[in-house]
Amino acid sequence: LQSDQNQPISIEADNGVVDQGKQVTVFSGNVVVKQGSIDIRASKIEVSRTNDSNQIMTATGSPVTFKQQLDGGKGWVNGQGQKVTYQSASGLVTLSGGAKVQRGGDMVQGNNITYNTKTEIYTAAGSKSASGSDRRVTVILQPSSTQK
Amino acid sequence: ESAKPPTLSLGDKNPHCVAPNATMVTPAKTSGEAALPQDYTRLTADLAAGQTNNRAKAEGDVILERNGQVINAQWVDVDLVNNVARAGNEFTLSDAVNNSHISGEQLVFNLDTKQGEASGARFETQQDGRRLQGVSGSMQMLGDNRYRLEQTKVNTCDPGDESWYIKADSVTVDYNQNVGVAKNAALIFKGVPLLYSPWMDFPLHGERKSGLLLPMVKTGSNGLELSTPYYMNLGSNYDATVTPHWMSDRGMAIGGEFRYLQPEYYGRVAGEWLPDDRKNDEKNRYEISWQHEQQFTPKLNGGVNFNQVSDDDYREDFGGRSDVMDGRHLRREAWLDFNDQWLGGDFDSRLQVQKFQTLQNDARTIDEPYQLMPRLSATWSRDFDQNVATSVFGQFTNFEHDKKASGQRAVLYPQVAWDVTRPWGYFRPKFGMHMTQYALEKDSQQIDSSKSRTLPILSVDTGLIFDRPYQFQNVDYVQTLEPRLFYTYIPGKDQSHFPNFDTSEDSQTYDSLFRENRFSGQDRINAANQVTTALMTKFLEMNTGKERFKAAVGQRIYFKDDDVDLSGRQYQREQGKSDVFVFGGGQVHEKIYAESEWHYSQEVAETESFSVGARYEHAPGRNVSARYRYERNDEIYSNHYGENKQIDIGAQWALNNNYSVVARQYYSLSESKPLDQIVGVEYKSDCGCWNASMVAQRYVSDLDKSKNAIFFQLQLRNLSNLGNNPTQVLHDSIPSYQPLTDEKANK
Amino acid sequence: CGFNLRGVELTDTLLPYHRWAVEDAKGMYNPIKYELKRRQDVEVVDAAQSQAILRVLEESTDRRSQSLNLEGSTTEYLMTLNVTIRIEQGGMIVSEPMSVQVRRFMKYSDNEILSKDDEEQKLWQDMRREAAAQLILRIAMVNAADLRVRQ
Repeated sequence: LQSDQNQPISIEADNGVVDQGKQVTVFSGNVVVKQGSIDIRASKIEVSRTNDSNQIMTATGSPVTFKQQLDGGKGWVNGQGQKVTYQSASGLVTLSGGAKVQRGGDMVQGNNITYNTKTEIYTAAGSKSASGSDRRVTVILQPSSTQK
Repeated sequence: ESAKPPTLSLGDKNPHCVAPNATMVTPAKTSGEAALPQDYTRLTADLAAGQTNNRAKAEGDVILERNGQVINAQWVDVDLVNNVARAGNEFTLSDAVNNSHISGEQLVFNLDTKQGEASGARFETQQDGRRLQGVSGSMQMLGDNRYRLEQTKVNTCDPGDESWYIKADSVTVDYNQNVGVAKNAALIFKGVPLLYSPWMDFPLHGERKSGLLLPMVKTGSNGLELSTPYYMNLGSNYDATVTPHWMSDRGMAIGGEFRYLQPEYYGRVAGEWLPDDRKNDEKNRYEISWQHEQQFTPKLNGGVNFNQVSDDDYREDFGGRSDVMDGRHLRREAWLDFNDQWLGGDFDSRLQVQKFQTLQNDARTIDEPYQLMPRLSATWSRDFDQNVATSVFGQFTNFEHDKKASGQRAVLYPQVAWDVTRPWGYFRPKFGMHMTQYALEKDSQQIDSSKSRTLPILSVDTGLIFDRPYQFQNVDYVQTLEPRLFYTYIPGKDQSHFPNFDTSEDSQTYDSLFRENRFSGQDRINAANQVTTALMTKFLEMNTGKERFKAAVGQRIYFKDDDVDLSGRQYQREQGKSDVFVFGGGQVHEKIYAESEWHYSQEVAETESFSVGARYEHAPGRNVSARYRYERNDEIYSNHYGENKQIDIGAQWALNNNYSVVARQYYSLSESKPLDQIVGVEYKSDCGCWNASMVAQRYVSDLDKSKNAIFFQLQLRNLSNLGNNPTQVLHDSIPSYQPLTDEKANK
Repeated sequence: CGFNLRGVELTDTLLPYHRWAVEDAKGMYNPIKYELKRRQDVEVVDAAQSQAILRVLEESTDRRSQSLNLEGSTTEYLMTLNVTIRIEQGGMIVSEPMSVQVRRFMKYSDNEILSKDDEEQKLWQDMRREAAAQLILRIAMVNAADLRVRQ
């Protein structure tokens, strides 16, 4: 939701380490991050802040799951992947390793996917070296999204 | 931009034709994933990008699947708002619903309406077992199984077979209307343009008469003849064929056929008109025929069968062999049938008007048949309990004739029949009273103008059935032995003062032994006090009951020798002499069917008639048939009787899977003259996409006159089937003939 | 020589059903009806009360000129009747299609055209009766064969 941006972020984890010097905090052990309707679960999350107050979050897990409610009652977006990074400034989410993003009936699956929560533009790519469903990209479009 | 001429060729696959289920366009491959729900789209690719509800783009060996349609391409760009997919550089679109495949360079395709356009396209579809393939500069999919190919080459051959094709500015194909229309089209056969037409249409699947009709070339007694039929499909219930027919000896004629088909009525009007016959400078020679049948109500139907020609020699000058065989009386009749239930029985009636046009012959005058102006006949039949059946036959006819005396005749013939049947036998007595009343026009010979005749007709048909198991070439049969007696009693009556409007003697065969009256028509009834004794044996397959072979011998024994001849006079038959009939026929060998009949007359102590025929079916397309016929006293030609021996041999032999020869020799041994000779060769192309035939024929058209004709004909698979083509002549004259393009034959 | 009266032993001529309906029979309706009724305890009723339906799949006639005289006109016609039937029960097909071909030669002369029309109609009637007789016998024999197999 647009309103997620200015919601408080709550993070739960088995343990958390703050490294003031590098401005990086690391949470590990079934980490749960919530911000408004955003809900991220992972085994390890690294949150770092760049000097222009852009927050970068890198989560790894098997897999990491990511969920966010869409404006206008359009349902939910949820995604998963071995590694998920989220940049708050640009709103860009990148997932890699068995990455999958679902949005209502639509679905994108591939080796790595980028999804811009602001512009709702996604890209996906397969990788020849990967195996199974990661070699290629599959996109499923549901009728409601294809009908005017 | 104007579509560039088709650089693609139909034949650039390996030129030799390929296996039947090969395809020109390799069908689009699917992702192999589970089927999607209705209207869902799946894109599988190396790379993808998009914006939800707006656009989705995929690159790298892209597979798009939706509702039974699959698109393969290097890249696909789907505009989700308008639901239009663009695909490019090389695409293949396969539609499982109507089994069509399209491949080409660029594609724009609306996923909902199935409409779109493709450039540099190859198109191929197979519906109802019929192929259509084409290449075109640009192609439009009009949706709903309709396509339009521009600057195109189209044919119905197997992939890679370019032996013939239609080259056209545009071909529109509509599988719902079952018609394809080509504009500015030329038919190219082996590279040679055979035919050009601004407009040409053809059927897509079978039932309809074909559109594209090929020119028919014929040489013979009428010199060189060329007819170029144009078929017009005037909607789902009407079609017409206009055929300019040029004859080197006689000039230009125009032929036409119009057909109409409605739920309650259907019919056909056909004719040909030759304004100016150069050969004998007669004007306006024509033939016209109209056949019509109509169901007015569930109980009432009727019809017309009208045929007329302009002059007596028309048929001989223009007709083919079948016209000569049809004889010299052209039928013109109209009828109404009324069938209903009445008094607990079935009532069937017919009101009929009939008049023949008789083609006179300068060599001899031909007797015209009486005209039925009108005839009303009706039959009422009812069966009471298990084995009693009654029937009443009634008929009133007003006979008219241009030369002979006209008159009216009423017939009433009630009958009652018992039928006691058991598995081992039957006893079927029948009794009827045949009443006839004439009202004749006054003329010199008749003493009084009204005559009547009432004769009781009694017959008893009885017999037993024995059977036993029988083994032949280790197949189990049941052999039956069926003795039968057929007694008839009809008192003799002189009928010499009675007119003969419509009566003559029936053909004398084994079956005629089991009829009470040997005359057909109602003017003569023979006297009878006789019994037919007959013995029949049948060989039936034990498990299926199929009749494999049947033979029988029958003889009539006369208790009284007086009888009535065709002129109606009573006469005495020679004491105790009668006719013997023997016949036999069936599947004598796995590949041979044979039948023979022998009629021996004790009166003249000679064979009255004998025939033997056999058909040998070596393999499909390889058969020989022969028949020998002997008649002691036959009508050799009009009003000339004598001994007649004839032999008829016909063969169709496929030399290899391309060439096959056909031949027929109908030879009169007694007159040592050929009456009908045919020799022909048929070529079937390797892929069976076309075949050509050349048939030469020499036949007798009148006494000591014969005509010859050579037909050339090209047939294109599923496209053209000509009206009167050589295969019709072959079908009529060679009993075992199987047309090459017979749909069943080459399935 | 091994012959004995039919129905006693070999070809049991019992039909598999007693109440028959005859459908799509056009010209073959009456001949089939009479042939069925010749069997004991067999009735021809309409489809509703029938135990089985005898459906005529094909009834095709062909008339071709078989012999010619010196003027080339026809002196003998060969008439061929092909009839194919099938048995259905409760909407289900219970028998293979059975087809029969009956042929007759008819001598012909052009100046007897009216009487030959009459003779031809009589011949077609004879042929339809014979076709019906052969078909009904076949149903009985196939039925007998089935019974033998089941024993």
